[in-house]
Amino acid sequence: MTSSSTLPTTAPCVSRSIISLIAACGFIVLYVPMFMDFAFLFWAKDEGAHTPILLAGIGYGYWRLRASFHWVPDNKDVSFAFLQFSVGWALYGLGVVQSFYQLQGLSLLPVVAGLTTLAGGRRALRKCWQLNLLLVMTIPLPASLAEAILIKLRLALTASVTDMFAWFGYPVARHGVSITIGFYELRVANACAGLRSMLSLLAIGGLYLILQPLRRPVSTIIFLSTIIPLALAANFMRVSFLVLITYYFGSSSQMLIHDLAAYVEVGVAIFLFFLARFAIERALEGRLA
Amino acid sequence: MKPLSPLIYVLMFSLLSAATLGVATYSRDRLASIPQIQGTKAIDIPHRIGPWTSISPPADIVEPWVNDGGDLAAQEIYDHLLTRGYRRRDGTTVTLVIAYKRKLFQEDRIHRPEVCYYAQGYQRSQASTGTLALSDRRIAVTGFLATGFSRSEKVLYWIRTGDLVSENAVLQRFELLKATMNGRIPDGALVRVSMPVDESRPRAEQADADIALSMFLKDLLNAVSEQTRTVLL
Repeated sequence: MTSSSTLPTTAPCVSRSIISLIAACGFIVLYVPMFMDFAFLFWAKDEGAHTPILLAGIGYGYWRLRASFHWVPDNKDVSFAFLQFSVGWALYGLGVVQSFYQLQGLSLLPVVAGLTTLAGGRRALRKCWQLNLLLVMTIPLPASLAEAILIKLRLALTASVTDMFAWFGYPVARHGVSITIGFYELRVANACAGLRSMLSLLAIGGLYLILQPLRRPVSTIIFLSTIIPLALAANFMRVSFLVLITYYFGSSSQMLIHDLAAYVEVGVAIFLFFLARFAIERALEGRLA
Repeated sequence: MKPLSPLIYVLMFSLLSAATLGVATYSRDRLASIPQIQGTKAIDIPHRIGPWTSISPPADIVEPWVNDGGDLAAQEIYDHLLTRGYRRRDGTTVTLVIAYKRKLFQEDRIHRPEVCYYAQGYQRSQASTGTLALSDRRIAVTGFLATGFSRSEKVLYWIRTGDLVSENAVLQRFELLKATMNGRIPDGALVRVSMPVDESRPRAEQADADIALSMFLKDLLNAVSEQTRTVLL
């Protein structure tokens, strides 16, 4: 902050909007092609359907902090920003050459952090670090990792959904990750999708907390600990819903509403987060915010 | 030093970003246009392998993939897929699955049999790793017992990624990274053999299954042409 005090902070030589526009161009050049790839490869399969929602949410988070972006970086800010850009470009380039989408996605973190530093100095970076960190959750999970970790969750989920319907007396059976209900076989491989997107749900919960922080640390911890069970609950509802639709209306209807279910799931999750927060505020913070 | 106008910095950022995209895309396309030597390799597995004669594969074979949606997508994972049963004179039968992919990128993968068995309703136990000693080299193989609802199978397999024979996902990714850095796109193969075992029988008998499987693998590698061997290993 040494040299910035010597600068006219309110009237830079070129208007701030032009500077922002040029920075945005650089960002768009890098990330629109990447997001188009991601949309085609990951988001279209419903395992990634929540990522755009999360991205929009994070974008909104940055928009809310736009007052911190005044575009008068000092020399230290500039060197730090370009250091971060270099890391970002290296990751991005390696990612493209290798078709290693996770590296490409990871480059988003240093590039956005660099832009934040350039736009608002290290002070803005300190304000945005949580949002920046949350960008990790927009990276598609590597397939090998997803398989190894999520298949257990997937089987557990399939089992619990099957048990529930069996308890209610539905003709339901489970074989590996497929559920058979009535005459139909539901490849709940698609539930894997649900579980991958559960990670996005967790991120959305985290974003909610960043945008609307709770006042006491203890309520923050309690809220964080409710995120996982609530996201699981939303996911459980989604799979159960799909099973019911398959049973009553056949697999073609299931296919039709499959994508819709992913978005409804986000809605349900956000509603549950909202309820949890409301309860925590009522119980621990004395009054409504 | 008086800082330059931020305009310079954002211009630099945008231009260098565009340059990054350009160079990276160009290098990727150049890499992808390298003719594939591996692409012309044929997998030719004889129907008689030492004491083994081919039979049609069992109907309830565990597919070498995890079905994530349509069957079509599953078929597209590999460029070449061979499933075959073999019977020895004493009645022992094994199932051979060979899956081959010409070009492996980071996001591609040869599905690990553990995961496939798991997803298709089997429980995995008794995981083991061993080495298969051939005349000229030793290969690391992985084995496990898959316990299903109505039957159990002993499974033995290896996965080749480029020059690496390992089922470790991190090592595989590193091998891909290394190969691409040297300007080539590696290929990969899964060689998996399995046979049904009766779990109610003593463990010694199950160990016989392991021996039969590794003997089959040795016979297989001795029986195939040099070219096919380089695909498998």
